[in-house]
Amino acid sequence: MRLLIADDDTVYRMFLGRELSKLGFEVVTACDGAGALAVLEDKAGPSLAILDWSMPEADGIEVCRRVRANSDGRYIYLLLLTARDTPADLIAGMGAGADDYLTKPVNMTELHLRVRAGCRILEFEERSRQLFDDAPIAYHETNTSGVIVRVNRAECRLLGCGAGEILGRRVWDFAVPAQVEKGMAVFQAAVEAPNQRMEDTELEMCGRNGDAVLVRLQQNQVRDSHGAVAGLRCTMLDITELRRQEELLKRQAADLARSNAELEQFAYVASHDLQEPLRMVASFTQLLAKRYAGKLDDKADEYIKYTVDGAKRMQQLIADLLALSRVGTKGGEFRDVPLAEVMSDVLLNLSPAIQESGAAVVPDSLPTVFADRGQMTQLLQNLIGNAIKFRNAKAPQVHISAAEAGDDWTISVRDNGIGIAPEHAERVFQIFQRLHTRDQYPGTGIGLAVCRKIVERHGGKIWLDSTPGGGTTFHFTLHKCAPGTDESMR
Amino acid sequence: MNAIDSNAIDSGDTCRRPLVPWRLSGALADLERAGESEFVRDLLDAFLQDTSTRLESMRKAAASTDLDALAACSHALKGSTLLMSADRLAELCRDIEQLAAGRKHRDYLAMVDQLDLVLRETREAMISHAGGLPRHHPPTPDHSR
Repeated sequence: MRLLIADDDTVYRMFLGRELSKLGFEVVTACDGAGALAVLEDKAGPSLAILDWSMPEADGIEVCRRVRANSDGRYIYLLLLTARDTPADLIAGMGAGADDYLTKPVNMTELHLRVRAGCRILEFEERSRQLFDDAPIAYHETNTSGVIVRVNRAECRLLGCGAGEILGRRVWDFAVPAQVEKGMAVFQAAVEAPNQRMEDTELEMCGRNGDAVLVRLQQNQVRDSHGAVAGLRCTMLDITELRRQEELLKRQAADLARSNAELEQFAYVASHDLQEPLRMVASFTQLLAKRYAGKLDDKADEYIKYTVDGAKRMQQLIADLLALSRVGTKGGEFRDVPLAEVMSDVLLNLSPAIQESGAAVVPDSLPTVFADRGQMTQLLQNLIGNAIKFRNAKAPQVHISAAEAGDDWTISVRDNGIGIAPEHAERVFQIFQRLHTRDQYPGTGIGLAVCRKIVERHGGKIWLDSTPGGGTTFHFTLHKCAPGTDESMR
Repeated sequence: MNAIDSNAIDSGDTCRRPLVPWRLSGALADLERAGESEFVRDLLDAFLQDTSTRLESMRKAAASTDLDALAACSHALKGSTLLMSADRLAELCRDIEQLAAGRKHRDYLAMVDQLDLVLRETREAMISHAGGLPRHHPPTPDHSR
């Protein structure tokens, strides 16, 4: 490291030069203040200086003042070495900008230690300067008039200018014309704010090639040792691309929502309008079967039977399809829904199946959730109905429980039924997907698709845990009550 | 008192013994112990050159009763006398600096003469120690206008 010794006393220059050279410093000397300033004003000059107070041309105090006033972003550590030893001298020296103060006659051990301390500060300063310069985010510092006094490389790249073109100008000088006033206003507000950190603001700047660059500007006050605002330290994040992507995403989300709504409407209208001609086909084939059964040959009876069954199945399919589309298009309002009350309705609706199968359906305490009550009934009824339907030889045991999971409740419906193989764990939620023949277990394969659609409409998710033959547990999540409502378990 | 006598006094209460013009001690003694006798000779040489010049400046300031300049010169000379452990010179410099800075009316020319006298004794002691002093130039570059 290069080090300056400025002293008009030859003996001191020689002595200190020799001693500090032995410690590995590259020593430069000056015998007056003007010589010291010439050395220190050189950008490649030493960053550590030992200054005598009394020197011709400019004394050590004046050198300190001028070095601090002419800071070019490079920090120079200044150590005053003087025979003046009163507290007033020390205050004057440090007040002029000296970092440290040592009295003559010099104790070399003390001087070594203080110079080492200065080196540590300079190393830290260098690391922070590199961090500032190499930071990927644009960064500058201003004085209280808004004049930029320090700028890093990222900001130079952002604005397409060299540091020399930015230093000395104001931030709003680089704003697009329509945003200059806003730039001035946010700067003034930040300087006058009682808080050190302001809300981030967005500003449109002129980037390289004159392109507009949208930046998120963060302004923090820099305060001096008395607590007075000395300037601002600001970062600028280029959000031009981010904003463009956000807009694109918004448009795509709107397109998707519109497309989904159109599809749901189409499914609803198509299935609704299919019902009428299908009802006619079903009615007349049933009439045909009733009137001509046994009057035609055996083949004709068989064909009529297939036609009637097909028409009935198609009616069921259309009814299920309508139910599925109604989840999105005909849903009710969300409100606080006590699941315990929903459970009572479900048990009532399923009482014939429960009695017929000898099932034991046991709900735990269930919470109140923010949901569409009708769809909650449909959801639990489908899951408990499945638990009863897909049973083995044993009487069904169905257990319904709830557990808190952050802002959500996780509701679980566990049975002791036939179970589902892991490879089918996702497939069962797809529309019209069935794992068994209609003869084994009746149905259209739409119940769990409806369940998933209901849960997703409520912002939750649904999944299952199962082993074939070992029963199945369906889990789904629901948001807790709206803020301010009673979330107690019932 | 000469340098050999002063070197014989190496310890004791400084309040009771008279101040000697100069004896090798402090930082210079450390250097010599470290085998840097040549450098010590360079320092003594530089000190004596520098001091002669400063003494001239003090004499001029005393003659013209420029007390600020006299105090400044005394202060500057005091710094190197302390480093060289030239205790009597340092004490005289301190006295002159304090009196001049305090605007006291004194016969400053007489005080400078006394300083000159002690400087001669100091020079003799230093030369005696060094066995004759070569003229050396400072080894490091100066950046002065």
